[in-house]
Parts: sequence; C-alpha cells; structure tokens
Amino acid sequence: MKKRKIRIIIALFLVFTIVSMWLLQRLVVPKYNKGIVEGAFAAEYYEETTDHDVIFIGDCEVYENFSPITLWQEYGITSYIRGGAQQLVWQSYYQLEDTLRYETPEIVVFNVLSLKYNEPQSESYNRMNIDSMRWSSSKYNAIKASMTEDESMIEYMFPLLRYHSRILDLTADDFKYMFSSEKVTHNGYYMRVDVKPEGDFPEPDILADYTFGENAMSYLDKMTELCKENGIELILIKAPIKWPYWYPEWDEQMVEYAEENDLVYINMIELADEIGLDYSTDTYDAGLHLNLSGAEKLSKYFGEYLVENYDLEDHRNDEELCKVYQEKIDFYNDMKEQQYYELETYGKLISFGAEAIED
Amino acid sequence: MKKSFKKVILTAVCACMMAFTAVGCGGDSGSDTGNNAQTGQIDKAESLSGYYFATGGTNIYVNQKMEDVLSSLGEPVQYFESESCAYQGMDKTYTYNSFIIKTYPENDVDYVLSVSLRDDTVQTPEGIAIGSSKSDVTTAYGAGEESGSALVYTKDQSRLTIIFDGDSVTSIEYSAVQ
Repeated sequence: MKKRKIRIIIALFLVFTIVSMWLLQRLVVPKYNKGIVEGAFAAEYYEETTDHDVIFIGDCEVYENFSPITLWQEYGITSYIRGGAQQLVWQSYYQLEDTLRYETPEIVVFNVLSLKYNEPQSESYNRMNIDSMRWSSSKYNAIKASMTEDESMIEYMFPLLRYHSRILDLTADDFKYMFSSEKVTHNGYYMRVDVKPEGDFPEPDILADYTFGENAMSYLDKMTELCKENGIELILIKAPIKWPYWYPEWDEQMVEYAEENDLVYINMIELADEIGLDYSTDTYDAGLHLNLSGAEKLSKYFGEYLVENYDLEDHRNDEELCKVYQEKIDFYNDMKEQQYYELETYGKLISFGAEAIED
Repeated sequence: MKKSFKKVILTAVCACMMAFTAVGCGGDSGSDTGNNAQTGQIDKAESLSGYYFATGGTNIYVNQKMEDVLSSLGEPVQYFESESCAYQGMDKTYTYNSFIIKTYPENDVDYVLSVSLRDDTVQTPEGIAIGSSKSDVTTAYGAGEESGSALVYTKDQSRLTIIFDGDSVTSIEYSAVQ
C-alpha cells in the first residue's frame, strides 16, 4: 500500500515536471508573429486544407516575389510557397520531401540563388527554416545537414535547452502567442506594399571559384531525382532580382544543368522588361525584394507562362476551392489595406517588417 | 515487472533532473531571441587584432566599429544599404576610390565585416597590391591555404583572401572570421 502511494507520488511528480517543462518551452521559444515573422512560415503550411498545383521552394526570392493569391485570381492556379529566410538548398530539398508527405503537386519551382552556399551558414536562419517543421525524418535530416559547428541536435529536439535564457527577455507577445499564432503569410507569400527604389548596387566581389559547391549541387541532384520519381515537373528559376549579384558564370552552370537534366531554367533578370517590372516602384528595399506591385506583376507573368506550357487546370469553377480561396483573398485584401493605411498615416509600416514593434 | 517499472521511473527522474540542470545552467547564449540573424558572436575587444588594411594613416580592422573608421576616412564615394531577409538592422557598403568596406549590425552598432581592395593604388601593409605576383604574396605571407584560385590566410578573427588570375593578384579582401 505504501509502495503504491510512493509510485503515485513519483508518477504525479513526473507528470508535473514534464508539463511544466513543456509550458516553459512554449513560453520561451521565439514566436515570430511580429517583426521578424520568417520563423513562422514553415508551420503555416500544415494548416492548408487543400492541395496545390504548384509548390515554390527556396529563399526570400520566392516568398517575397510571388503571390499565390494572384496566381489563383488570374489563372485559377493553386500554389503554395514553402520558402524561408536564406533557405539553403538542402533545406529546400527536405521541405520538398516533407511536402510530398501531404500532397504531390504538378510543378515544383526552385529558386537557384541558394546554390551559392555550399555549407551551413547561420543558426538563426536554420532555426527560422527548420524549427516549425513538423517532426519527421525530413526535419531530422534537415537539421543534420544544416547545423553549424556550435549547434546540437538535442537543442533542436528540446528547444527549451536553446532558448531558456529568453526567460529574462519575454515580451507580451510571448504570452499572447504561447499556444496559438496568427497567420503572417498568404500561402507562404510575405506581403510588403511600401516602396524604396532600387539603389546603386556596389561592384560585385571577385570570387576565387565560381563553381557551385559539390554539396549544394548534390542536393539539387536529389531534388531533381525526387521530382522525377514522383512525376513532378521541376522548374528552376532565378528571380528578377539583381542584388545579391547573380554571376554570369553561375548562370552558365544552371543553363548546362537544366540541359543535362531535361529541366526548364528561367533567368528572370533578363525578362524584367517583359514582365513589366519598374525597379523604381516595384521594390520595397532598394531592389533586394519586390513589393506587392512587383510580386503581382511577376505572378501574372509567371502564371501565364505556366498555363501556356503546362497542363494546369483552372480551378475557379470548383466551389469548394473558391470558398477556401475567398477567405484567403479577404485576408490578403485586409492586410493590403492595413499596410496602405499605415503608410498613409505614419509614413511607414509600423506593424510589418523587421522593425515592427513587438507588444 | 516490478524491477523494470523501477528502472523506467529512475530513468525518467534522471532525465528530468538532467533537463532541469541544463535549463538552469545559465550558459551565455547571447541574443537568444532566435531573431538575430547575424552569426557573429565575436569578442570585440579580442577581435581588433589580426590582419588590417592601412590607408592615409588609418588602420582598418575587421570587427572594428564603422563609426570610428568613418570619422577617420570621411564620407565614401558611394553608399549602399540593404535590409537582408529577416534581419533587424542594415547591411551597409561604403565604396571609397580604391577599396570597399562592408559592415554588419550588432546591437545597433555597425562593425566592419570586410575590406576589399579594388585597384593598385592601394596595397596591404606587407606590400601586396592588385597585380602583385604569387611569389610576392608567398614571400610576404607564407604558403597560405589554397582555395580555388585564392590563397587564404587567417590570423585571430581576421581572414585575408588573395585571389589570382594566373600568376597575378586580382582581388585582396580582409574579412571577419565568423
């Protein structure tokens, strides 16, 4: 009887400890709901209730430059951007692998800028890309491929070990978003309506070696193979962004790779005029990323290319999808209105962007 | 059965205690918000050593405060700033006549990330300039580590990368080791 009591006390103690640790972890992990929101992108995908014709993967050159809502409104194409801040090619590969657990798109679009990185770069960007993925072998392998010298797998498995010292820097948002979060993207698209014209870019660095690294290219090979195995058309793109500089030597390698692997590669920098981009009005940060106006122009152009060259169904007659997408359009328009309101009222965005003030 | 139950309990208690210990370890995690995209958790006091570029009586070290450099060099010929993805703060590029300085932000202060020499009107304190030969470089700095068409030298928190086209130096860059 006495032993039974002891067992119950120990069991209760363990339950209490585990629940306390879990609550503490929920409290201290970064929430990414305001300011820097890129860490919330990966998780939002799992809230999707319908499949997608097109999946974009890659770095900021996909999630800031393409609008899935425009693709829907103009062409009835369903799409989602599984992008992330400085998403490295192995992270893109594992995001794609993860996506295929849930759906098989007709087309995957990969932005090739990240091939310039052959090795893990930064813990912060790793965290933003990986932390909010659901646990799977893809996430585990993404962590393994991405960890910098000072990182460890155990800290990814138990983020409390990494973030415990945030307990001294908690904000109201840490409590507000402890158990839930607000949507920050539009099918993975990060909206910005402000305008900052393209600046005078500095001279590009001279590189010791212009060949993409073996590690990076091996993941592009894996991506190509994975798409082929699943009957998916892989389209390689370089978004129409001139800085960071896209070297002609890199472009040549992509042209060759696409030819060798029977893939389409589109360097959109060369198509800027055809797309109708005006870099004095279509970018919000001096030319590094497009703003809403630029993203909608690019999406209209790319959508037209897709419907002309691929057998994609126009889903705008599908009532169920229309209902789902109407909600998305409403959210899109609400955010657009709010951003324009802030621009007119304050002369800048105060609730969006890296400098947005957290509660 | 009873023994295995005890083992499970014991293991779980140990795991919890270990976790508590780790949580309470109070290790310095720097800015633990996970929002600081800059990787460089660099000891600034220690970092003002290593290779440096000297021009007009000013020594420029990587990881040095840009404010100090600017006060000595004056305004650049061209200035470019960009807010990179998910960054708080700006990456800045200052172009002077013969060299380019890039900075990174940390806690609202800009530090020198790299200095690139662009023409042969400037040279390193060891006498190497654009156009120098490989043997000039190895005489001045030693064998170095080969990386593509470059020789790389590392000292403290600084890295000196000298790129060649054949036997001739085409680029010299000082950068912060992160």
